[in-house]
Amino acid sequence: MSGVSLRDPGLQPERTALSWHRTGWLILLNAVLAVRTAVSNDSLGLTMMAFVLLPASSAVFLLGAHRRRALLEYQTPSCVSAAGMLGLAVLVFVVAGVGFAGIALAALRK
Amino acid sequence: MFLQRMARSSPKPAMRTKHPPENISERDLCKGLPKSIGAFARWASEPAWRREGSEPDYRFSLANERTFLAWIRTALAVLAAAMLLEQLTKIEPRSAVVTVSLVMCVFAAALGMLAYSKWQANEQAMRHGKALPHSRAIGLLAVLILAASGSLATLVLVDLIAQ
Repeated sequence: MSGVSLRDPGLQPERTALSWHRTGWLILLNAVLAVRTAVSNDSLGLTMMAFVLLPASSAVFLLGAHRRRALLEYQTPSCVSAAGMLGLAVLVFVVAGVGFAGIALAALRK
Repeated sequence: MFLQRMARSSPKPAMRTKHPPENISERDLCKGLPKSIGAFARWASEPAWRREGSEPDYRFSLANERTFLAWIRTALAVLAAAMLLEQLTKIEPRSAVVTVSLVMCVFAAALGMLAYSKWQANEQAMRHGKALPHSRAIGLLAVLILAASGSLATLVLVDLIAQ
């Protein structure tokens, strides 16, 4: 990596930042779906899931913005923090668990 | 005079580093937390394996990061499909549809954790200059999606015939 002022021709920082952005949108989609399911099933579990997902999507958007800044600012872009990765993985795990419980409970009540 | 003394006594501004992992978070973020939580936060934000080996080319690290995010999005898409299936379909028997969507929820949870373990394994392999680990995850994903769509197609067909 000798290029001091060279722009990365592979656009790695942009692609990575956009990848975070897309993930944020998908979490938001899940939040909207959880809200809809919670309203129609009158399910507490799915309401909680929506309340977890809505701030989580904004957190991922913020993380993406932070990554974009961190990647574009330095010539040698910074590493991602392992905590962010683990947090996101655990979030998906927990949310899928809550979704499971919500769907199962709604089916049992009918 | 006063200003000079200020300048002498004030601490140097912290250098901005290119690779924060070694420098940030450890003391600053964990200060004031109970010891065990602090240790956990330290372990989670900067596990020991991230100091082993040598720093890989940043393009490979970023590609690995994007791969992780793609797995996370796959998990989220499966979860969204499970909720949509439960919500918007009117296929009978209901219990079979609910079963498929429950299996998809379990699958989404597994994919979420798989994303992290794959990211970690790739990162470790790159740090030690080894070949990237093989994984059956993609094959498993294909089989499960095939199973889900196959069972749904059967359900729709049975429902149509029954009407």
